[in-house]
Amino acid sequence: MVATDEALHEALARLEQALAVERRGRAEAEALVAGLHAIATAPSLAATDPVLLRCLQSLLGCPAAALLVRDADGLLRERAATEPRLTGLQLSPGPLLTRVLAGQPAAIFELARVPELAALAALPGLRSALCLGLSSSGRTALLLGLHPEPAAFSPRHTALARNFAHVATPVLDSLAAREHAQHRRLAEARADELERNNAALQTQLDTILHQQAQIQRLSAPILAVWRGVLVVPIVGALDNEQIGALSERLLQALCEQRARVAILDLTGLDAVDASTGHRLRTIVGAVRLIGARCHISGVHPALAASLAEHDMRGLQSFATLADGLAAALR
Amino acid sequence: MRAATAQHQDPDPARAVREAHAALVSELGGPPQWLFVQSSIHHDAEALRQALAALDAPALHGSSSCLGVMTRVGATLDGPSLALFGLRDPQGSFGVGAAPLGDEPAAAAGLALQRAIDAAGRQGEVPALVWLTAAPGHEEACIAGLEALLGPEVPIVGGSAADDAVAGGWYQLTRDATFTDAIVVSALFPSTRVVSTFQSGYTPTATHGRVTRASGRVLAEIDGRPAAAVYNEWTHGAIADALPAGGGVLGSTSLFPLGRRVGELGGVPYYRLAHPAAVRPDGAIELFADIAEGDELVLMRGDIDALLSRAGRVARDACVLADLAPDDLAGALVIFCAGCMLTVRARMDQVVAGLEQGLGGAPSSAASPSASRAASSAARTATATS
Repeated sequence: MVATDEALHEALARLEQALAVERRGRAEAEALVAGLHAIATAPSLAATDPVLLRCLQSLLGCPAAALLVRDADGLLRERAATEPRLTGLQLSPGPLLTRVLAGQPAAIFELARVPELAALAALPGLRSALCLGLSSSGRTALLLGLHPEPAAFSPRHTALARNFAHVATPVLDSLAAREHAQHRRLAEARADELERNNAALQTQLDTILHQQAQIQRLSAPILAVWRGVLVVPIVGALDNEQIGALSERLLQALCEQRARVAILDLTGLDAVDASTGHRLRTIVGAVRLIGARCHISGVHPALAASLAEHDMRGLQSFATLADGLAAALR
Repeated sequence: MRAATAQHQDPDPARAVREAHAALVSELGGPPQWLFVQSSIHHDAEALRQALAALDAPALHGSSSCLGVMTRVGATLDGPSLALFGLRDPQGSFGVGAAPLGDEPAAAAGLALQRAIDAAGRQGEVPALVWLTAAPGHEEACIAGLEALLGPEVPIVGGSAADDAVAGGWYQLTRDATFTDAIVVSALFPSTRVVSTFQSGYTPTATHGRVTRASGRVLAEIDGRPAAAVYNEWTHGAIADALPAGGGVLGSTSLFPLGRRVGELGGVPYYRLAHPAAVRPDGAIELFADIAEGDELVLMRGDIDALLSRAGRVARDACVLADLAPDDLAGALVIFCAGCMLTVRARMDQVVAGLEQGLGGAPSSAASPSASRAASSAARTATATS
């Protein structure tokens, strides 16, 4: 009878304990699932930081939380926090935090006893902490659950935190991979668009160059008006590049046609600047070097002033093209 | 993590320690990070400590136990004996601290715990398990001191250092010192899970009364009459021999502790137990737990069969609670009440067999501390798991 009664009490105790464990496990599982859902549906990876803190608070029942990320210099710097007093928090990892970041959560019953957490202990109203490492999507983070009372966290909380990290890490990794893939797709689309634009620009550039060559030819055509006499009516402006091209074409034509005189007709030259005389002098000099003569015609007053500044000895100038032609044929 | 036990009966403590430790190291594959030692009082405390200190065991925690020791190979309850329980867990951390109980046992417990945590190199961290051994008499205060530091949820497991006749022959020891009135605490930070369970056993009877005079652990009167006389009537003469002049009654009262109702489980009340230790010449009863005037007492009752199977049931409960397969277990530490052990002393092999079955053959070491612990403080069975 006694043994039966004792067995009954033990069975009841086991049932009560099992019920309590199940209730607590259910509440913790629901909090975990809700947290994971919130993380998984965050609009971006960057937006998960405050979500992680809310999950941690819900799971551990702690009033404050912070997320610190390890920078290249090894320091842990605050990235998100539930309270302004935690903003800018920095921690330098020692043995405790190194262990935590390696995957072993730790409950701290009194912050002031841990030298590594002196910066936390110095903040008013914080006494105990749960430290959890979370390495995912290429970053190492420290999650802190914080409480104003000492000894607010137990081995049960540590186990809960370990479970949280275990399930949250793949979700964060998945979110990061999704975001990475989306970025890659966007980058590829942008690259295609740029390539198409480049091709269109190249086509336009080719057209422009072709047109420019045509214009160049039309602005200074070389006409064989008589046997041994070439006339070059210059229209528009003459820049250095055009003079170079004209000089080349003219010398080639003089040689091919065995011409003895070239007349540069400047009647259509509309832009005259201080260097025009120098440029013309360059052409005249080149023509002379192959044994031909070079006349200029249609010189207007502004051009005359520019030419006067240069050595134009030996250069025959005529008011009109007709005068120039007449002189060449004599 | 690996756990192993070894015991030895050599009367020379140095030789017993050396040979038991060698067997332990062999089974563990190296020296343990944490070493728990239980010994019968035949061994001199300081000689034992010196032998243990010579070992490669930085975290050493030990105490005397009632009559002897128990491991999976059996219970040794006659003559000198000692048992070692070792944990080898290079990824874990373990520390031991101690403090004399003095006039403020709660503060001493807190100080010993802080020393243990610091010795483990885990300043400020909550351990997975607190293992304690203290001189009898202040268990409630010790638990309160530990809880004041760590909160109510951290498992605190252990028992009182004991001797064979509640005569003050107990001792506690660490690597550095031996004590007779101290608390020794281990802070365990293993790399694996730890679970613990507790059962006090016993069932209530219809016999009850109210405490009308008491002080500390001395129960002077029940319903206005000398407590010893009332208790003797309730138990139909269980302490009759001690009534005239007083004396120890631990063994004769083990099946009839006093209970105080502290709650309900599924509508069935459960009780905090207080075992009678001795009868005073003035007719008062010394208990192994604090008692207060106005408390409602119920005579509890147990039987031999229930006592014999209880340890195995508790061990099995721990495994079920943690959802552990036998292969998951690294080992177990078991506290078995000294009063209960004295009652079933001749049949302790059945207790060992029950534990072996409940633990699936995992290494276990048991202590038999004094029977006096308030149920709130008391011996919870710790199961270390791999």
